[in-house]
Amino acid sequence: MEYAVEVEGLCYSYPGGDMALQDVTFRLRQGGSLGLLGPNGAGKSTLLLHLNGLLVGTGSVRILGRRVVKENLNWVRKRVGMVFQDPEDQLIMPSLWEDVAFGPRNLGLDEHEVEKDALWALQATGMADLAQRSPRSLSFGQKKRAALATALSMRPKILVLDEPTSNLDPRSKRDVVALMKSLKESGTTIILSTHDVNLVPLLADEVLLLNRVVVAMGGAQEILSERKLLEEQGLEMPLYAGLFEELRSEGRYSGPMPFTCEQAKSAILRASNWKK
Amino acid sequence: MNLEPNSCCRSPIHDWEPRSRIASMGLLMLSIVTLQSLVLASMGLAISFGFLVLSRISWKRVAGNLRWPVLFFMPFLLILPFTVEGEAVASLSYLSASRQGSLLGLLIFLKGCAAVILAQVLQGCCPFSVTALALRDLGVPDSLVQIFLFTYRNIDLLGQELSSSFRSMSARGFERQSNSRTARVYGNAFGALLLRSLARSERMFFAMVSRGYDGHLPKIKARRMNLWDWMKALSVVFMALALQSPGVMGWSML
Repeated sequence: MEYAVEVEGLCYSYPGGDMALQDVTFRLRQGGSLGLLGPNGAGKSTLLLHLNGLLVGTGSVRILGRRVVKENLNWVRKRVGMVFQDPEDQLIMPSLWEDVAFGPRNLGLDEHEVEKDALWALQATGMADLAQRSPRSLSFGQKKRAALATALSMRPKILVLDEPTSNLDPRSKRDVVALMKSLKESGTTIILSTHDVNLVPLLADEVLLLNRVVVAMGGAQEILSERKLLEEQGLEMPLYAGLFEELRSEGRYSGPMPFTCEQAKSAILRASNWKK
Repeated sequence: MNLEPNSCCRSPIHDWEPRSRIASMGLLMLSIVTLQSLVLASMGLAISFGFLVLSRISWKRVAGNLRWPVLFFMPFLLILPFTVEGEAVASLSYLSASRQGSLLGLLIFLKGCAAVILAQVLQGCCPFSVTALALRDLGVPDSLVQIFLFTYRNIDLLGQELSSSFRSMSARGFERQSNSRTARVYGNAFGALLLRSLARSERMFFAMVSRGYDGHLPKIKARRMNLWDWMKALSVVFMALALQSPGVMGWSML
C-alpha cells in the first residue's frame, strides 16, 4: 500500500534548544484522514510544517513515497496544501483572486490553467462572488474559507489544516466542516490539528495524540473513548461520547459509544425503545 | 479602511493599459515639477485637474489626501517671500516680502499640488497590485515591488493590531497624557507591535513558501496595448513636451 504520509523517527528542536518533537513516527494511507490532538505547545503545528518541508528535523518524512528533501520540495509543495491557523498569515495579496492564483502561478501553470484552478477553488469554498474583494474586507469566517481556497487552487492530494475551525462562529464552522467532508469524499487525504474534540469524529478516521512524542495513535473512536488518556493530555472526551460514557459507568447504557448528534439520537431512541 | 475605493470605477483612465499609463503620466509629472514658469505651472495644475475630472475618482477623497502635502508646501509660500532677495512688494515691521520670493513660493506650491493630484489619479484608477506589477514590467526591481505590495497589504493589519493594543490599554485605565510615562507606554506598544510583526512575517513567509514561492513573484502576461492606449499615451507625452517647449525655446513666461 502506498501511504500518503510516512513519518519516521522525526525529531525537531527549536532554535533555543527546546525539544518540540521527539521520535515521532506514524503513517497515513492515501485518502485517509487524521486528527492531530494535543495540548497547547504539544508540537502539532511544528509537525504539520514538516509535512511541507517548511521545517526540517532529523528522521524522515515521506509524501506519497518521496522523501521530503530539498530536491523534492517543489514536488512536495504541489501535493501538500497547507492551511495555516491564522488566515491573515495566508492572505498576502491585495485581492482574493490574486491570492488564490498565487500558488498555481508559482507552479508555472499557464494563465488559462491558473484561472481554471483558481475559479474551481473559489467555487468549492463558496467565495467566487468575492474574488475581486480585498482579503482585509472579508469576515473572519470568509477569511478562513479564502485561506482554504488558496491551498485548494493548487489541487493538492494531501490537505494539511492547522486549527481549521478555531474562532469560527457555528455557521462558518458548519460550512468549513461540510467543505472538508466533501474533499474527503473526493479522495483528498486530510490531516488536521485541533483542540476541538467534537470536530474530530466528523472529519477524521484516525487520531494521533501528540505531546512532543506520540502518546497514542489509532482509530478516532477508539482513542476518543479513552477518557483517562485524553484527560492526562489536558483534553476531554467529545460531548456525546462523554455523556454516554458516564451513563455506561452508572450502568444505565450498554450500547455503542455515540460520537455525533445522529449517533447519539439513535442511541437514545434505542435505549428508551422509542418508536417513530 | 478601504485603501482603493476608486479602483473599480470606470473611466478612460481606468481603462488605460497600466504600463503606458504609468510611463506617460510619470513623464507628465516630471515635466510639471521641472517647470520654471508660474503660467506653465498653472497650466500643469489645470491639466492635473482635467485628469482628475476625467478619472471620476472621488474629489472628496483627493481633497482629504491633499491635506498633508498642502501642509508640507505651505511653508514655501510663507517663508520664501521673506527669505529670497528681490523687489519688495509688502513690508511688515522690519520684514519685507519680495516679489521673487512670493512667486517662487507660489511656483513650488502649484507644481507640488499638480504632481500630488496626478499621483492620486495614477494610483486611484486601478488596484495597487496592478500598478505594482506594471512597475515591475517597466523595470522596477522585483524585490522592491514585493516590498511595496506586501507593505501595502499589511498597513491595514498593522493598524488594526495597533488599535487593538490601544483599546486594551484604555480598557486597563490608561489615559494619554503629556508625560514620560505615556511616551514609555507608547514605546512599549510600538515595540510589541514590531515583535508581533516579526513573528507574523515569518508565518506569512511559511505560508508563501508552502505555495511554491521562491523569492520571485510569478510573471503574469500583461494585456496588449490597443490603439486607444497608444493614443492616450501619446497625448500625455505631447502635453509633457508642450509644457517644456517654452522653456526650451527660451520664451519668457512669468
